[in-house]
Amino acid sequence: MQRTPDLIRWLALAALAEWLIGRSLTRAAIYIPKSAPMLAAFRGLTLAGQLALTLASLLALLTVVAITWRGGRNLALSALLSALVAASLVSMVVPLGGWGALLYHAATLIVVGLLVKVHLDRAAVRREKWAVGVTALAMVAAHLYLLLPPAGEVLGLARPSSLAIPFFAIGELLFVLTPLALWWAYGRSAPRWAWAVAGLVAAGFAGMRLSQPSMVGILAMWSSGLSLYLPWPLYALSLAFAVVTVVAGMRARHPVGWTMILLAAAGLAPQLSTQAFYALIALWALVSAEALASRPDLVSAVQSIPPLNPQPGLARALTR
Amino acid sequence: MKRHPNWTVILVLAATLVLTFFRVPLASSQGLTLVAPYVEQDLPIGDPDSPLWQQSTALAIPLSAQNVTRPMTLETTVRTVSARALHDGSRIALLVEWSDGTKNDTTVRAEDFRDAVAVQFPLAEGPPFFCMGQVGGNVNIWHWKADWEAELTARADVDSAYPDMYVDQYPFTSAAEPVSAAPADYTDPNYLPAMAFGNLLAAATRASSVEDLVAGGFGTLTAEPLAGQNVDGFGEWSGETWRVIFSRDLRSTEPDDVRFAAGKLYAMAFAAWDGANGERNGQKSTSQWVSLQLAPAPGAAAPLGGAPAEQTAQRGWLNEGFYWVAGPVIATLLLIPLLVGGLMLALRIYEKK
Repeated sequence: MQRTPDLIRWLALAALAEWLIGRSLTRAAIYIPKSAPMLAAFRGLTLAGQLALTLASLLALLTVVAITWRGGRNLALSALLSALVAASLVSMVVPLGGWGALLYHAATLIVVGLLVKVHLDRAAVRREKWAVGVTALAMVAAHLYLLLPPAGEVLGLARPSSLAIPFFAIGELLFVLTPLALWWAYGRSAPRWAWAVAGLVAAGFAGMRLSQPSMVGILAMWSSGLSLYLPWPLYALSLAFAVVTVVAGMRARHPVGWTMILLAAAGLAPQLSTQAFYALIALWALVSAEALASRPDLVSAVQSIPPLNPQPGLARALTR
Repeated sequence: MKRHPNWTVILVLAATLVLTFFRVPLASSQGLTLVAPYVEQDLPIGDPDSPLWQQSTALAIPLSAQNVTRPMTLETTVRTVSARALHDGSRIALLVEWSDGTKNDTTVRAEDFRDAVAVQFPLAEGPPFFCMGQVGGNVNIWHWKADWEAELTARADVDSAYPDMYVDQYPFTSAAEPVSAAPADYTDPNYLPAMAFGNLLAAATRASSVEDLVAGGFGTLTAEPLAGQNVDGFGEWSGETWRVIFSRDLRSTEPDDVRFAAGKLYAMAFAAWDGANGERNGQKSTSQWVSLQLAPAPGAAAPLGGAPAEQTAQRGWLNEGFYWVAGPVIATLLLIPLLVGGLMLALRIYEKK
């Protein structure tokens, strides 16, 4: 099985740190005693979250550039990814409004479509196609929810689109179903101890949800963009399947483990360009890994492209 | 055999430290953006039905679900607020609407909780991922309260909830027995210490239904001084929907107030409380961060980041160095691999031909 490129593994770890520290733990710190040592620890945690965000953002940009560089024959995909990177950098100075935002989200949707097409064009078992399909549809629904407001602005509409919240709701439902789909396709070889760990995590979530529903709701919205409008057992189940899928992927050296981490860190309806790149890279890793594994000639073709820098660098990091 | 250091890892880690120290963002906002168009007419700060609001494209913003007193209720709809914004070059107005089947505008009884909505603006630059601000990065909060809206007309007291109440005596007042005494009945305001000290919550009359607050980390929520309460509010309940208008001058002289300028992007977040559901304090529904952008007036070339003087006032000396030296250098270093990648792509296309 093709080993997940180093760059994506580093990115997934940085994204996990940024998500858990910067977006989750620091918010939950509202419950800790406000003594001087605790405040100092909170400041340290905040700084760690900022470092993780910067590292994850940098690695996400580099990964997308590397994917573009090694895009193979898919020039449309490479061009669109380059455009997304350029737009994300430009928008730090000049806000994208109206047409800019509309085209940005449209480009993201096209990238998702191209990646799904790559996956469907290959010979793959039906459950793997469904898994990639559900993952991609969750991203599509979320980006359609984000695309509708700039579309309304361009068209001069006053009222919010009646489709915006339904897309958000559908996206959240699909996002919650994604771990189940990925587990069904790639994670059924997980050992029994993974289920015990997953059960503990799910039980922890359930306990928090039942004892502090407000805080858990706020935490979920801030960390993952989830409104938790569905019955809470569904989220607990999804969390459990996500943990099992990660364990199964790591043990089998399949990218699905790292993909699951990146998708969780990306969340629903990503607010930042970094989070959007997490999701795109995750989908690319899932799709490309299968392609590389089933086409040894592609593996050698990719690895035969000479990197610019003979030292271990970005180019080799993507194929090592 | 001598191991060569992994220069890539070292370079990436060094870049991370430098970028974090100089607060250089590498992630741009790509979530929802609320655009506040410029209007020449007076802002409709007391009229949510004004046709001027139609010039602003409303955003439907999902909120976190809430199950405080009814944990077994399976509500399968996403709770949302709808937001619009307008500005006239000197003031900004925000219209926030949300569905609420009950009007809870009194907090006289201990079991009563108010309907409310709040808008939060981070004052620090950079990704605002902290609900109540972070140390060194405060947030300015505009908190509209339904009971304060009702008290703009008439102050509510215990006798509002219990009209048949009986009072033996109110010392230090001129109120007749057995009615309750109003603040004006007190012969000496020192016997109303909170009110005498200018405590906002104990004010005899309300100047606004919005409380202007600042927070700098958990447990630090503080109301701005009475003189600094400069946000006006208007709220109206139409049977199924609350419609609330926040309005304030674009440029405030208060140190802990957000200052707006055309063309610049601001982050904001919403929170809503349903009094009928027992929601109060931290038991609320919140949204993710949403961007707010004030459109420039037609024909006016608005500066990208607002008036330079205002920018300097909000940034420290270190950031001046970043904007003129470090920032361009770092941006160039980041653009180099992008340019190289683009060249490689172009070369590949050329070779294929």
